[in-house]
Amino acid sequence: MSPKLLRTTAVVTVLFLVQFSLFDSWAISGVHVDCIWTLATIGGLLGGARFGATFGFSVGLAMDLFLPTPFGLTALVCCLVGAVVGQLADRGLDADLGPVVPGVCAIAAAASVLCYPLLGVFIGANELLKAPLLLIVAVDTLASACLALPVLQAMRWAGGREGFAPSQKAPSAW
Amino acid sequence: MARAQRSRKTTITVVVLVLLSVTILTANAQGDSSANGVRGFLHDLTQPVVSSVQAVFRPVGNFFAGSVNYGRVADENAQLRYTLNHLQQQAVTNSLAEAQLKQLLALQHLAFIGSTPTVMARTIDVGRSNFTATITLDKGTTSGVLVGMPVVGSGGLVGRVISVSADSATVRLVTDASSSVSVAFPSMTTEQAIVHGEGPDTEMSALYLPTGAKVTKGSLLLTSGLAGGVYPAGIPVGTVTSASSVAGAGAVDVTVSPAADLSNLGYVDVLQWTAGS
Repeated sequence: MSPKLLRTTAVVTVLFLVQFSLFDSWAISGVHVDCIWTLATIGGLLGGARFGATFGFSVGLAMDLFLPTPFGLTALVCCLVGAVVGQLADRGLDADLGPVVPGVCAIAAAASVLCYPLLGVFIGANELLKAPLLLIVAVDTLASACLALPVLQAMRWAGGREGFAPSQKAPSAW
Repeated sequence: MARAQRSRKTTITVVVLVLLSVTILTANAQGDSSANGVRGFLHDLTQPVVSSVQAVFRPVGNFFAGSVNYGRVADENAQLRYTLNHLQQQAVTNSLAEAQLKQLLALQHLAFIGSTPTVMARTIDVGRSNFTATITLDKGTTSGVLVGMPVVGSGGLVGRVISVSADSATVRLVTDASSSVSVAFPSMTTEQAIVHGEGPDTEMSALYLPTGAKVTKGSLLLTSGLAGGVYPAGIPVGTVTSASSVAGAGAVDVTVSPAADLSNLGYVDVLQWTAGS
């Protein structure tokens, strides 16, 4: 296992523990913060579309193991988010521009929350549409904007000098 | 050229991953339960760490929650004081009501619930997803908890066990949007209805009751215990909070407030009862 993969696993593990230990118990009107959307978005921003999709799928599938929702749904949404944001990064969206990152994370979180129940409908999970979507969008958008920079820093540390971008021989490390 | 090749690789990767996700989703939707086993194992594995971190940070969380919800807590406090005074005044009349309740419960054949073995469990996790209403209990198969068992507590039906591992169980609450409970009205012998969950922190509903059903605000709904049903008879499900006629349909829709206080589920009882037992 490469050092980069080890560091990335450590970052994801810590974020999952923060999610289960803290965010899950700090609910506003029954709605809590989800950090998974931020993670997938930052993956796309730092690594481009291919890495973003793979990373989003992996962390989403890992998160699915802990959720009572249909297995694979978080993986699908995170994969799409990572791919779309990664595509923007491939076309010049720069993660070094400080204010851009929280904005992108906020928009991606809102889109993810709305996509989640809509994709769920395709597999018959119509009940997901009954969730308080507007409140979830509001909480997750705000939280994602706040979490964006800390998660970005953590993922940059995980990427090391090589980073995750495809032009930097990163794929061979995976 | 290299850029075009990389773009093609990216597209292939994304398409493959999306197809893989869809395959996993559909396989799971069609009843492949292998994911549940892994989920239970991972939950047992991570729960000690999660509990430790929660214990350390709970005061911080309570501080923030208190700040955000201060107005609501103050209102709730005033409401509770009023309720306490009201209850003290009613203490005398309650003894009469208690006698009537005993008669009613006997009529509803509730006695067997008393003899049904139960497993007391502590709630260790509430609602991991914003899209579902579930809780996690600290008892699993090693304590005799099985999938499908009803869970009661805080004054009524809480929900039903939907997945279980060695030392934990996930319970779908009655308010979850995919929950439905067959109910009967204790004041009537023939009328029955299905109460559907409407999502986390939302009142339940029962649709298209016949207009002949004399449903009034405050009517208590109990599980009907229909043959083949998933709940035994006689467990309080909720009380009617409003009833409205459906124009042209000759029916009544009602909203139902859960009998159990689902915001306060520290400990619950799992009834060791399964459909058909």
